Amino acid sequence: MSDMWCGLYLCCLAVAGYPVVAGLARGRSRLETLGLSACMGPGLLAICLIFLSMLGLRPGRAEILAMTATCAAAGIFLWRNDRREDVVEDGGRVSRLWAVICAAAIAYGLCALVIDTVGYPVIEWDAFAIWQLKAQVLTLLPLHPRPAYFSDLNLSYSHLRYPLLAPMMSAGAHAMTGRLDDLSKTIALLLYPGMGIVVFAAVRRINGTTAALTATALLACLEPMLRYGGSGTAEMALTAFYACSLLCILRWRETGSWGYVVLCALFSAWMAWTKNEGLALAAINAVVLAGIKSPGPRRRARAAAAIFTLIVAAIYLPWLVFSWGLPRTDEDYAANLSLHGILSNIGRLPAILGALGLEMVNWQNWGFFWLVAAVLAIVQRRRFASPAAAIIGALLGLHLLAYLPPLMVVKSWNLDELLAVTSDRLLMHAAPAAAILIGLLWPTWAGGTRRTPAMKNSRENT
Amino acid sequence: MNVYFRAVYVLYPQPVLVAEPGVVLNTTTQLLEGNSIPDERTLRDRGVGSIVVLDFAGNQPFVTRVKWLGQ
Repeated sequence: MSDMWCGLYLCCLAVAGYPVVAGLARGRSRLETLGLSACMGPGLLAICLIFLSMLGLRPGRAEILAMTATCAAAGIFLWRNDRREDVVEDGGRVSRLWAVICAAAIAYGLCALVIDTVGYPVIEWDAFAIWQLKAQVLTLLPLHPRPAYFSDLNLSYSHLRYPLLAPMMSAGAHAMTGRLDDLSKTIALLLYPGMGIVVFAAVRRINGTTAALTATALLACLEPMLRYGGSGTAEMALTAFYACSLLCILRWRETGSWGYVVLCALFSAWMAWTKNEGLALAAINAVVLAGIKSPGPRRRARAAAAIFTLIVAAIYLPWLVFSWGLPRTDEDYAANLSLHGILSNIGRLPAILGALGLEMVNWQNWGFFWLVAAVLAIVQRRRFASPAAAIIGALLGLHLLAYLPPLMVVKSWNLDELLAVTSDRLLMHAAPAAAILIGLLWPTWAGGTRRTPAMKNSRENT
Repeated sequence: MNVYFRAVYVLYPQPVLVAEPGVVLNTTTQLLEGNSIPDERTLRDRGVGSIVVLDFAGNQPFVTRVKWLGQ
């Protein structure tokens, strides 16, 4: 019975995302609709449940089903009035052998994730000590009045000030099944494929199906993606939302449609509500949006960045209010982040850079993934003249740079220990950007097309 | 320590009673220093109805003692 309710919950999440994507994303392909909806739904429903919880209503079946019904009605309305803008893309010819190899890699990743998600209990440390524990708190108690959990120093190891979107997604599953069981991890069954589809769609439109399949296959079977994807931590959610925000930035540059700015802001807000790293990534998205030349006058870029910032700030504000006054302990890493803290720990930088570099060439975790990205960035450097590759390259570079200061200021951990337990998951967050970059830089002699309409557009706008 | 954290998750919202009330346990050191078996009165006060003592023969657990606390 629990399985049935859990399956229904996943359907609710998938349905909830569709009207937002259909209403905002003009000129989208079917794949983009599918991927963005799969990731939008969990974020949207969870943020609604959080706001209801802040009003004193804990998550329940009635609330979830009512919200889904509303979204489904809006989705049907949009479906009927859809002006059939779905874009059919010519992805170029694909070698059958290469397609089979890539499909096998993607299938392997998907199977491994499904087995980990539904076949194993919550055994990852961060999952049972932080995210799934919070999910249980949110299931049992509303956020108003504030539960004792948030001031219980005995549970400060679970990071009392960590944002609540990922736990609320799991709390929704608990609310639907009526049990505090391990099915709460199953959100990954939407987020992981959603991320893969989004990366595929982002690359295919610009560099053809072969490049898209390659990038998606490389991403789908990365070991950290499979280790954390179905484990019940927040890593999968952050990574999937980030991939969606990247696609929206690319489409905004290409089409100039404001809907993509709003979508990007929504995904960035979900990122900020998922992990503190998400806030940094949202800020980077805003900076890059401000520098992008989309079709139309130059001031549109600044307006897009301003609208983006306003939406993210408006959605994030309730968390700032709620978390105001929560106890700050050693586990509150963000509190240590100051210019003084960074400068006084600058001596740690070489060790951090060395560890991240070594992690990138860690064969067991990443295979050739980062090496392929680095080699393509060097060999295909002329491709950075294309705005899409330049944007993704800038986002990836800024993303990796943004992760250095937090590692420098965390003092409650021995640096070597900290790097050993965090570097793989930090690089996992950046993996969608690297995968899209690999796809965009994939050479023509290996199947890249560079002939699709998007690429012509991008040249015209350069 | 992992067993303790996992137990907190599995038993939530019931508390894991491995130390005196007021002792904060977040690290291995704190657990080793603050670890104590609560007395029967503390258990009764926290709503615990009975004590079951387990031991292991190899990997197999077996019950060595059961005590009813009268709740």
